[in-house]
Amino acid sequence: MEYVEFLRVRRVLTIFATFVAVIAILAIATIVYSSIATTGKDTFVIGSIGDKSPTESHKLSSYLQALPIPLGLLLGIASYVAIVVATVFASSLNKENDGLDFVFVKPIRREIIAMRYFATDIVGILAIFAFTIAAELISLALSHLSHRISIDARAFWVGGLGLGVAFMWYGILQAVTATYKGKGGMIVGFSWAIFGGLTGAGSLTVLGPIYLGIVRAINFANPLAYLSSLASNGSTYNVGSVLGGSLEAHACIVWVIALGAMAIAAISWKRVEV
Amino acid sequence: MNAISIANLTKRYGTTLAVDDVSFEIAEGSVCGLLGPNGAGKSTTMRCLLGLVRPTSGRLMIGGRPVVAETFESLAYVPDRNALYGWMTIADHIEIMRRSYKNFDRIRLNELIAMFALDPRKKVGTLSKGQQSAVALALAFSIRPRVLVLDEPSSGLDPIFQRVVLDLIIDAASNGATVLFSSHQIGQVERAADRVVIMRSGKTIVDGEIDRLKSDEKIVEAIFPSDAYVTARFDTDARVRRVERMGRTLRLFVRTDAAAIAREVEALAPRAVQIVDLGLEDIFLGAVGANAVTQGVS
Repeated sequence: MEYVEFLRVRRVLTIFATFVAVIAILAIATIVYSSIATTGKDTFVIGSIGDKSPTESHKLSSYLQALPIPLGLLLGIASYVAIVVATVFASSLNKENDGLDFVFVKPIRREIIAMRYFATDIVGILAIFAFTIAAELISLALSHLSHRISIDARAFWVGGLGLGVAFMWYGILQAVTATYKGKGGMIVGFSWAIFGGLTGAGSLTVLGPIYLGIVRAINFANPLAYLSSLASNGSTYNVGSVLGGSLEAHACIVWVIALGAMAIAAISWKRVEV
Repeated sequence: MNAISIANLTKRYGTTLAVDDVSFEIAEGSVCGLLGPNGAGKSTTMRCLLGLVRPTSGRLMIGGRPVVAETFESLAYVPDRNALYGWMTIADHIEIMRRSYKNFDRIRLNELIAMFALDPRKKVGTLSKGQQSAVALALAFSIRPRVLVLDEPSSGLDPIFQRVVLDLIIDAASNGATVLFSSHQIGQVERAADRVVIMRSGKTIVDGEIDRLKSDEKIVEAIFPSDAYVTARFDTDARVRRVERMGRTLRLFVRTDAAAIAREVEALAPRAVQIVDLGLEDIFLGAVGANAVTQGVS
């Protein structure tokens, strides 16, 4: 555990936990308030239904109540949160480049220092992922909706893919920013626009097969493409058209890219000059 | 045995030659002052020595071995700029040191923190430049290093703490540590160092023991009744290395026969003549070019 990064991660976790706790309290308060306005014994109204008659409202509520909540959806939401936090942590080596006079004179090999930063950040990302899932489950339990969570084997692949995408994004940003002095935050910000743009570019089918082939090849290095190609229809998961291939293959690819990018980041960072 | 050995060090940044074939050695337990005007290559030399900058060529050793991570277990470096984390407290930095160094000495650190009147609860970013230097020095000395590399260690410190730093350096050397430190304050180097390396434009121009360098020359100094005195007789004298004329004062940097030259100056009827020992400042100014530094020299 790298102490400097531990302090940074702890600070982010504290802010995040406070934010999630506030959201959870608001959600629970909304649910409790809605339950007071319940029109039937086992149903409650979620939000406004405008001009619909009480009978239609009752039918809609019953329909929503009957919908299963796939575990993959909960894992997917936690993955997106993990990605956001991963990008916050992703410039940790870059942040050290202003004080290498202090960092590089420790009796510890530089690649080991880099690995310690990665390990600390990864623990932080996993903590956020777990905390989000816990918050989701607690919210559902308090809302008496836990019984609607549907579990199937592929849900865990979705979780693996989601976390892998978070680490892939983290690794790519570490590799890109490790040798710069400053500019880390700017590059992290741009990554959202670049990866989002690339994902969108993959859906422009009118531009022909050559264009799509190039965009598809580039998108293999785009973490967002792996998540956006994933579609849920309740209890099964389909891989969309941006990348093709299976969920399991994608889950493996993102982890390989994540580890490779972190290795590149560590090697390039150790060569940075003061 | 030499604690620090730099052989044929060259460092280029593109077309700029920052350090040009620099070589010097520092014996174990010795204090070496590194002097030179801004841009002379002092900091680059130190950073190359510590592996913080990759040299273009040259061999650099500490304790007879190239610098590796383990070298820093007993080596302390204080850079010429603040490299500490502004958002962290002094106590956090102490914790980093405790976790990183086997030799970390908490008792020694507490002494140093008290000596520099620092509050460990304060964030480094809220401290003055001098206090930040003091924190860096306290952390550096807390591992009881065998080798100290200090780049302008008293920069920003008030005269009292400058004195404390000098005492720390002298104390460390008396306990067997080897110190390489740079400073713009020649008096500090003269007081603490036993040898000096003077650099200019990336080159070593003086390297030797201070006492020997001082004994190499004498200064014959004469004060005349008015600045109307004229003498060009010493300009071409082989015994005189340099002639300085400042108003009514004449200073001759003499290689040999100082007493004989003093008698010749007395014949010119000055108000006073004396033979004085060369100071490190004279050596420095003579080496880097007094005309560029001293105003009013004719």
